[in-house]
Amino acid sequence: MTNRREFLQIGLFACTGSWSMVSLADSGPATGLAKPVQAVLQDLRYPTAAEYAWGLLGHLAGAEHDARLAIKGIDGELSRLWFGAWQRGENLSLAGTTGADVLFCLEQLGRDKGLRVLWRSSHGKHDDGTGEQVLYSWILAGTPASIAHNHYQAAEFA
Amino acid sequence: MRYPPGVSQSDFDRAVVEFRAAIGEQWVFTDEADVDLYRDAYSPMWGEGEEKIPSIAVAPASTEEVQAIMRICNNYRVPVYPVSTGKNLGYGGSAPVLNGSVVLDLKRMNRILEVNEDNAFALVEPGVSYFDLYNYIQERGLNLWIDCPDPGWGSLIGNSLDHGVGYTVNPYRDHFEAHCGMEVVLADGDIVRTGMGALPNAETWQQYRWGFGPWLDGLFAQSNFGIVTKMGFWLYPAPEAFRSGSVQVPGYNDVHELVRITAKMMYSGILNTNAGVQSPMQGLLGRTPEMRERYERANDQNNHDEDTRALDDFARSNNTPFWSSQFKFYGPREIVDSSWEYVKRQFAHIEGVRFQDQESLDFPMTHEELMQTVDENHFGVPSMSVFQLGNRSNFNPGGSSGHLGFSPVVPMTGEAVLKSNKILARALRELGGSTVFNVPPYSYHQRTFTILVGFTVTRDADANRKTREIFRELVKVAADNGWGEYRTHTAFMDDCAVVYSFNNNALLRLQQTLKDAIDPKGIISAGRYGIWPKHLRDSDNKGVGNA
Repeated sequence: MTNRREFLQIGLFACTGSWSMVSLADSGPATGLAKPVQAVLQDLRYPTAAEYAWGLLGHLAGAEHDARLAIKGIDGELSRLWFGAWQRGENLSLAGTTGADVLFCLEQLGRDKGLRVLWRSSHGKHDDGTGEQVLYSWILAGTPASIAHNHYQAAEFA
Repeated sequence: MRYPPGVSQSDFDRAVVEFRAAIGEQWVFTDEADVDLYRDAYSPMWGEGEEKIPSIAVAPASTEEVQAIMRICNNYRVPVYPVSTGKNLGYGGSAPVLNGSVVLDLKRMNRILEVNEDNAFALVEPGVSYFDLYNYIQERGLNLWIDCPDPGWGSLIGNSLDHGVGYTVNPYRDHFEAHCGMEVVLADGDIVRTGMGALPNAETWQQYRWGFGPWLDGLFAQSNFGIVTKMGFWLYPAPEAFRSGSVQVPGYNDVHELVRITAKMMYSGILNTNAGVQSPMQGLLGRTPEMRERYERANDQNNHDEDTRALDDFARSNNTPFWSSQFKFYGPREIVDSSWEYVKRQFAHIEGVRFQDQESLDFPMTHEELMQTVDENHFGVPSMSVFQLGNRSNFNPGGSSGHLGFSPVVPMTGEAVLKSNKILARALRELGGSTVFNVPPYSYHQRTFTILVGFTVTRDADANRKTREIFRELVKVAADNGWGEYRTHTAFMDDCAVVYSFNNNALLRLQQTLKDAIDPKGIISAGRYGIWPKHLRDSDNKGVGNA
């Protein structure tokens, strides 16, 4: 778990240690993702999420991700975004700082499109249990392997 | 690659080659990293030897491909576990009951085949989620509502077949009751259409459900007799208005009259939505040990006048009603307003009764406006906000990795409300259980209450083992009192099925007879809802590490 200062000072890809850190540590974000990150989510329920989300945005922009990349605010309910435009998108790549519930839903939904949580880091709660709600920063994208299995399309309307 | 139980490696290798030829190599998932995605995220056996994990997964795109897969499975006796979208969290997700089964992932079959606005029905494939159908209707501006569970990411077919429920009105809120007509692929690859669908060129497949002769649709719900590849659903013509209100009664014993009148109005159709019984006193009782003891004693004893008087005085002094029920009305404005007035009159004779007007809405409303209501699910708007319950909070300080619901069905009487409260609370205390949430009696179905005792699932194996132990004991305690589960997680299907034991488990024995006849090699969803195929019925080896 990282605190806010560590997160911002050490940098996104040095502060992980989590199970889901795969190829990004070696290859860096620009080459590790099959598709530039299209949006960074900020969970509006947690004021501190903004700082982390902007930190993510800065790192991703610096890694030559889409210059139009912007923060999208959500209030914990991502279904309108996911089941709207995103569901029909190909090779979706997302990043964000959200509560655990949003990350869980994205993990479950992402697998239908061949996406995995490639990196995540938690912050916000101290070891003694005090402090703010635990937040997660994460990247959800297709790995080169799973992109090959990225076949699920949006519902077809016959 | 993992291998299923009871199939030789060479046979399974040949089956995999044939799967690839039948549906395309890219749709046969054999890498463990891919197959692990089918683990049950809410598994109460996560990381233990008993956890259910498939061997491989296959994802056909059409009924014809499902038929091809089944012919291969039938030939090699490969156990197969169909899932629609695999989002049935809390009830097993996409993990099989029999370890090592091949998951038949139907989410690529996601076509909405028809939506008929005038006759208010839809015909869909298993991969169609509530969001998909909602978006379809919204984009076309159709004057129809869906009825969705929370969360709404699951399949209409999958939820209906598991007897899932929603929040609007009868018959739409009971999702199996709202279906009309099925297409089913059997274990040998044969295909059947039920109801009017058996008539070639049928024009009423989604409108008249009984067809001709015995009605078989129930065989394919909570079972393992076939794979449903199409299903019709009745949709709700969008109502003009909604209103809700609550009835609050002051005394402990008023629960009997509150529930009696509620039930009468449900059976007569005046109330046609779900309603529950809550106690606004719950928090006060929890914070006041003396009154909590009186409440438990009042529940425990038949002669409890002193305690009930003290409880009533306590409620009165805190200006808090002992019980309340919320009622919802959908329809034309004049009718919903009149219905609420009528309901109030039915309760008016209860001394001290109070009424509270709540939401009053006129439709149509935009999606954004509906999302601002108390609960968008009540208006057929799917969402995933229910997952916020798993977050760390004052309500749930430890956070969780998921949840399970123990959900026995009890009569719609005040006596049953008190008795179930007493029995289940006592059992939980004695078993050392701690639950995160206990939902009071709620009429998920038309003529009964369901009690929902919620457990958190974590990644702590010891805690999960304890939860499983308590869950299994609660199944027995409930059964001893005549209450059975309406639906359960795959981990407890045997436990819940076996307590339906009238006449030496005659019902289960009949289900087994049907299983042996319809699926003689026992390849479809072995063990689902306690129905095991003959070759595994008395076996201790129901898959590697099976519970």
